[in-house]
Amino acid sequence: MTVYLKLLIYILSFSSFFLFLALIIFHLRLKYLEKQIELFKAKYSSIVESYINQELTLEKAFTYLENDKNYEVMKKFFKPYLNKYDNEKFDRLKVLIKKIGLNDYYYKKLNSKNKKKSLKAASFLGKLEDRSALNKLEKLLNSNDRLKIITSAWAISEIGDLSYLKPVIKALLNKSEMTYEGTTELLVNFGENICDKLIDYINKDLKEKDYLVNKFETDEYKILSVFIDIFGFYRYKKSIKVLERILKKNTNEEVTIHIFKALVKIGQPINIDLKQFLQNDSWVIRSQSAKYIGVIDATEHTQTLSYLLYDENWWVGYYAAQSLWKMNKIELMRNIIKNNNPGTEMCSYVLAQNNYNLNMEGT
Amino acid sequence: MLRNTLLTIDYIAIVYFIIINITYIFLNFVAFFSIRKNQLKEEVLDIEKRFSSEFYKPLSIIVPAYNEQETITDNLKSILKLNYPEFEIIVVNDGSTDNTMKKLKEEFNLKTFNRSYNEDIETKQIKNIYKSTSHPELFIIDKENGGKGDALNAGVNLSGYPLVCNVDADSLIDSKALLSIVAPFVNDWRVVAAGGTVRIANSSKVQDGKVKEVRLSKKYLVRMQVIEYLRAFLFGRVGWASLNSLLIISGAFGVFKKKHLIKAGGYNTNTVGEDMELVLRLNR
Repeated sequence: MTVYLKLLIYILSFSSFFLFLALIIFHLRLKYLEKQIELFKAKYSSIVESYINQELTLEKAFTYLENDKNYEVMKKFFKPYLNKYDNEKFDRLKVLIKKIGLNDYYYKKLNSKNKKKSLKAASFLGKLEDRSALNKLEKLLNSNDRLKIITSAWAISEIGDLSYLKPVIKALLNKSEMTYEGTTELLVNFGENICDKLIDYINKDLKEKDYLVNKFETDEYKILSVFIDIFGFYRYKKSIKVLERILKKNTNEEVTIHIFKALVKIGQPINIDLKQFLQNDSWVIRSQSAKYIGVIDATEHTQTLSYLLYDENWWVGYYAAQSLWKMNKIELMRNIIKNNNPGTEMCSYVLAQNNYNLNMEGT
Repeated sequence: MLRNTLLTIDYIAIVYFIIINITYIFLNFVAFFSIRKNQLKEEVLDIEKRFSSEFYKPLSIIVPAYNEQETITDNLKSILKLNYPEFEIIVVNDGSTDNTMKKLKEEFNLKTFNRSYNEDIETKQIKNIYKSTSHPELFIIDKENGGKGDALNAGVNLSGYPLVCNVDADSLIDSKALLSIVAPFVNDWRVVAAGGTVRIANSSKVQDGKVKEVRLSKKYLVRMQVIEYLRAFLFGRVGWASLNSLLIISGAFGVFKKKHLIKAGGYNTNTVGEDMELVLRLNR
């Protein structure tokens, strides 16, 4: 018994020692890398800035940088610049980075069996919008590792090649647990051109049954919800027709909610009777459609909105009152309060929120 | 007889020592790899850049305050400076007997506000709701004393956003902390709650509500507390979380999906461990 106890205590002591050692080494490595980056910044920030601002030629900037080829440090040094600049300055930066050899270095790392190295390479090549990496990124996308999928999808979307749109959407919707917001945020990296392609997909789906389901191998409502969120993000007016068609055909609650959220952002009227949505069983649909009414100034729904002021759900009442405010129905709101009609509390709240003084005539 | 009893106690103590240390060392290893994994995630997914877009979830920060006259204004100023696109702050004055309310009124130009809200969770009576005219995102609830859980519940009732974040009135929040704590809610739809790491700021250099320099206190009791917090947060909770067995999200800094919080019945008002009790109920 005593021998076993002693052995256990030895193992514990050794494990503790090993753990402390690992922590110290890890910490020192981090500190060393941070110091290297600081030194690199002090040495080359002004050179890179001058090059980006066209005060220095590519050759000159390259001559300075080529003697100090610590690629790990260089990557961390260039990353903030890649995030900061776009258009012409970004392109200039890309040329310099390529000439230094960072693209080639990280392209080789993409093949690495070390997951950490391959992911860092994928992320960086995505930032550099390096098209030559697309094939290898697609291989990462096809893996079953969640982090590999998201990192490669993010990199592909930053490169922005629409021919990879389908595998990216398919992987995200089938193999990750990302929310609609997360998926949409990633897909909008492809750029506004994505919207026409999505409209094309939806039109085909409206013609051919289960087109989207067969293409992306997941539920139709999930695919449509993401597509619609993207239209909303880009405030894409050309999508109105297709949204209208989906609303007329689709009865899925999730899709309807996403459509109204997108419509609120796009701010364009649609050719469909909105009353059915204001009276829908789902409070989210009622609230979002009430909000939309205010955005498009659809005054013909004023009466329905005044009923919604005392809806059983707080948000429905709130958006109904907000829409009445936006449509300048202040007199109606004042009368509700004056006569203490149902909806008084919500009208008072929204008027106060908009700094409207009830005792005076105006704001 | 006595010798045998003492020997038995000895063995129990040694076995306890071994079990607890094996658990701690195991958690340390798990947490070490988990932190490294998170570092990699942060690097490859670039969270700072990502959350500058409109795809964050808006957040209601609830700050329960009871007799916090010394720290409340400084800490609120630090919360107001947080780097997050859309949030509101709801301070709940839980029947303070000192000058907490007076300080808030003086510092933030409060005026009474008729804010309508759902009484999803029952709380002690609310005396007044105020809105700051200098900081439109700041609201104050002045209510009868009911304890921390009750104050948090009142804040949840008033909150207007889908995520609620509880913050202690004497805590300082790192400027990027909100971005980091909300990231799991965007990356994984299954996440219902997330907790942050809490550390001791005694003796650290604090300027404008921000920790400028981390320093260790000279008092041994505080040093012990520093070690205890490192144990509890850096390897305890991180370790348990990676094993999907986390039983507590600190009441000092945690974020919850509001609908789940309400569904679980809010915070329990009859316990001092309302944070742990809530996580247990959410797990069920």
